[in-house]
Amino acid sequence: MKAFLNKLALFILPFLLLFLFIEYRLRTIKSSYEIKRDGLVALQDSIQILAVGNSHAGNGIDPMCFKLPAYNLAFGSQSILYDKQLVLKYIPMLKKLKYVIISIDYPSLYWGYEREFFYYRYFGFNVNKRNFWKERFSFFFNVYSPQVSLKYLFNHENAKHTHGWAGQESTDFLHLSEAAGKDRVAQLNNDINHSKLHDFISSELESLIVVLKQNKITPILITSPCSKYFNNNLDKKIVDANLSFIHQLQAKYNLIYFDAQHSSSFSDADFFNVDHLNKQGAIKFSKQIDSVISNSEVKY
Amino acid sequence: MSYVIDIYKNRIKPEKNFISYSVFVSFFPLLVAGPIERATHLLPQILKQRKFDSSKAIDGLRQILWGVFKKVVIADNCAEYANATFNHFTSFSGSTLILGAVFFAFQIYCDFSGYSDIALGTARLFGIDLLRNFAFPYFSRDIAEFWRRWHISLSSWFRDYLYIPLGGSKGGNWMKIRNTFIIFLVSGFWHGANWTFLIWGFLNALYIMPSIMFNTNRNHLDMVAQGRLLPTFKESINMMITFSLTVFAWIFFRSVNVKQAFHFISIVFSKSTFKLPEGRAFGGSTNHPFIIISLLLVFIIIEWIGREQQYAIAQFGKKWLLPIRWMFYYSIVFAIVFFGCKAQQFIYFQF
Repeated sequence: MKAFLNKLALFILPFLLLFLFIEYRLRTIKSSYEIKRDGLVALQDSIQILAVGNSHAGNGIDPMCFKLPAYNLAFGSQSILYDKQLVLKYIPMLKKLKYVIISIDYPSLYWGYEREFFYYRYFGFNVNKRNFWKERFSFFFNVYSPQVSLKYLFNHENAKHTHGWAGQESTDFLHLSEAAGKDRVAQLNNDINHSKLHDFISSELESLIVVLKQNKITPILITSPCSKYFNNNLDKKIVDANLSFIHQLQAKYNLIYFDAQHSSSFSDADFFNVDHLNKQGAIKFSKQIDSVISNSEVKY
Repeated sequence: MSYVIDIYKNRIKPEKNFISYSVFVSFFPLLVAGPIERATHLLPQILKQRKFDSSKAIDGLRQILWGVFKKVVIADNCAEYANATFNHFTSFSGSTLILGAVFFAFQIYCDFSGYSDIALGTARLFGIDLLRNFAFPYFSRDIAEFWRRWHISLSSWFRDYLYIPLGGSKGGNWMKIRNTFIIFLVSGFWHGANWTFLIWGFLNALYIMPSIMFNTNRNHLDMVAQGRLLPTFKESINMMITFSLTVFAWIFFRSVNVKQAFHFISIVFSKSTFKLPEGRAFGGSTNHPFIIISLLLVFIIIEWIGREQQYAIAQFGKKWLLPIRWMFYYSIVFAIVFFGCKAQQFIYFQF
């Protein structure tokens, strides 16, 4: 038995050492959250436009296309709840901030506290007062998946942000098809149907708008362009409910709302996949938002 | 059930020791979907005093490793493609659907035999040998051989507790045909109350009929190409035909209903089968299609090399230097960690 256990320990030892090395690397590599946070702090004195939202805005808003200094603080799966927390945290720091672009997309009014650990680690938010023992124990297994870890270890793509934006280079035609659109919508519908947070998120969005108005910052609501493969499969009831709520807010607070979801100015070549713009599409979309801001009549 | 029947038939005596009996009925590796064990095989091992045997324990760990690889790497990756094709079969060409059915064949094999390997390996850590459940069924040269190699514990259970009590092969051809159909239909029904399983069982009964009628069902009792590296041309053709027939039957097994199965088959037999399979069926895959196909090929090669053993890597690399052999085991672990994908429920948990 002793010989067996010794042999087993010897067999496991290289794994243990490798595991420790990977854990160390993953904990010290700069994540996109850290890069974007540090970038924001570095540019705090100049930023006049701040974009928040999920990956639609994260991929689709190129801050360099705006006439005023802009910054992209949107992250994948970022909910409106974190949009609000981020804006509240950085408003006092961003003295010149004039506009906040809030991305409201198909699932936005249903997504709760996704990726909590990142917001805790990089921004200090811990709404649910979790201790994150699993995440602290292993970044490899519990923060990133092994596949993502592998990508991070050997090809760290997150270092290329400009004003918080990296963008996707080209079109992934494997993920730009009717079937891919159907699958993506089904996945989002599943999230939406299981969400019990709609009313809470809606009220948090409204309170974010109120705070911005109080600080004389103009909220700009946007909905990003999506491919026809995605749009054709959307649940009309959910789309109508989203629009109805946005229009209510628009009327109540005299808001600017730029809805580009079905915009015909975007072709397949502008998308990375069914519901995300690539760099070419992002530049086009960002220029459109900039012209909306330029033409805006809302002045403080 | 077999315990009660065996006592009734005076094959074993009732176990009087409550703890031993409890260990037998609740032996954890078998509980969910393990090999269907007989009291005549398992109880004596439980009653016998066992000592820790390091060579058995190492062999058990090796079999667990191979079982996890089969489940997490091969079965779960194949599942993503198979699910995409079966769930959206109307959007794909016939060739894509054929590939989807082949992937399902590997999914169900690696899922179930992977579980069995884990169960057998775990039991061996405790010094207990369970019944072998799979013996490289996709290398079979006819359907009779396939059924001697697939879910062996269930097939032999049906043989001993259903086929033979019904009269078995005694009583002429009609009796044999009737009994064969009965066990395959019951086997189909055992998987669920759905016509798809019944048709799957019926198809397998049809496939095996020629060898039953012409008494060729025991032609291939040995392993294909025994003692040789490669099969003969005839053996290769026989293996391919058997595999194709099996895959065709799996279409019914996997389909939600009979209508879907026939619709799926109608696309397979359409002109679109002459197109190249579409990569977009890999759309939602965790891993790149190139990785999945490469892993599958490596898996088939290792299974082929180890086909004369209890499980593929039982003797694999035994003659290599220890560091090289360990590197091989490490690479299996790496594949499990890095190429394993979203956890999928074991298919046989539902049966």
